[in-house]
Amino acid sequence: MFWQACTICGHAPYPGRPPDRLPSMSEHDPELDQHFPEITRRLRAFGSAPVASVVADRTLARLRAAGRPRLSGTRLKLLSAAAIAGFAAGGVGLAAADVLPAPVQDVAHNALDAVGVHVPPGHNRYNDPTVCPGGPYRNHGAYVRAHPNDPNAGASPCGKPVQSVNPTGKPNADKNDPTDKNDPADKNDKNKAHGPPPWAHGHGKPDTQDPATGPDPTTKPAKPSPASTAPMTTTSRPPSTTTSSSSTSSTTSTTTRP
Amino acid sequence: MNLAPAMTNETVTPDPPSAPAAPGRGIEDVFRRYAAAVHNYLRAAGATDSEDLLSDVFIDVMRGLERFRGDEDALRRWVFTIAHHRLVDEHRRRARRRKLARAQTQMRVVPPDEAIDPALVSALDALTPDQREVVVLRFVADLSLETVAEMTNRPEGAVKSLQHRALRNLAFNLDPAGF
Repeated sequence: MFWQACTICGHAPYPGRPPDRLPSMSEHDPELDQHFPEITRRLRAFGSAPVASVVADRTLARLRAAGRPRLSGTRLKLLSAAAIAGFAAGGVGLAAADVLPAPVQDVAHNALDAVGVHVPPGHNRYNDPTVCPGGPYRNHGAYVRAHPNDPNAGASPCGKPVQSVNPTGKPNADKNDPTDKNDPADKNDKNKAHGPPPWAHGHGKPDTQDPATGPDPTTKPAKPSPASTAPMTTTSRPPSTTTSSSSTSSTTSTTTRP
Repeated sequence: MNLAPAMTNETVTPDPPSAPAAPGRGIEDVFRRYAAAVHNYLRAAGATDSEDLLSDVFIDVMRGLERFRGDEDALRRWVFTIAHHRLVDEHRRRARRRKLARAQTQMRVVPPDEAIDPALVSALDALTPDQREVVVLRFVADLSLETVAEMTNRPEGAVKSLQHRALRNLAFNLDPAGF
């Protein structure tokens, strides 16, 4: 019972019977809508207007394009498996033919070696039997591990790629050897040949002259004097004062003087 | 009392779960039956690109048509439910874009060259979004009260109330002197 008397005084909280439920705002007679027959008629007319044939044709064309059969899940899985198998077989074939780049070939060599497929390594390792007894070694680490009591094992070229080992058996040891490709002096020569970038126009790093050939008479003095560099920065300023512009013109003529 | 058939037929029976789809019900058949109603519903509800949205709706219908089970009324309800969801998505997307761009562009309801009853469109523009949603689903899409309540997640009483206020406001906006 929802309406109960007070447990202390025994009186009902409200006199008489409880009032009927108040009508809520959401309740109204649906037939009230017939008071707006014109509105509902116009709304229904709006809804039943035919669609333009151009719109219908375009939409149907899109529907037909979207309704083309797509790959089912099973076919997609089969195709994915075939693609993966093809890539794997192609990769193994390329590795076996030794046409992969050296680092990739090395990775393929190590990975396939673990599953019993032997493909050539990416680098020819230095394994001279006179220098590296007990070889051949797979890499330099294998040589070092095989000689735990040799304090010079780490410095040995054994197991290193032959590209990093010169004919004497020492990696990058002879820097005076003109045939050594890894000579840093060669790199310096190459760098010297480049010179400053074309956009530097003498403002870049100073050109170091070769002491053997002497100064090149055709080249301008690369490093400007401090007196000429300071006003060159003032030329970019707007000519706000007369003093600065006059000093600029005088110093500019100084720099262009041979 | 001269009510339209859709207003008198307020009872929506639940779809029998094992009822098969009607024979010969292809996407083009469904499209020809409901394209105009869905297109007009989208336009009246304020879709920016109603044609694009119409394509999206029927692409969804096409993808789900094989699994659909139900009679003709259920098909109509289902198609308009998809259209309603697409429209809500579009409104949300547009609101996000407007928030990002901070461009208060006026919502374009019907292209000017295709205006059908422009006075009614202007009066629909003046309604609140809730009133517009209900009145368009109810009379332009011609759906029952229960279906509209289900689609909009409102009690039937709230739908009735919104519908009544929307009609009253439409009447006032269309003919202020005669109201």
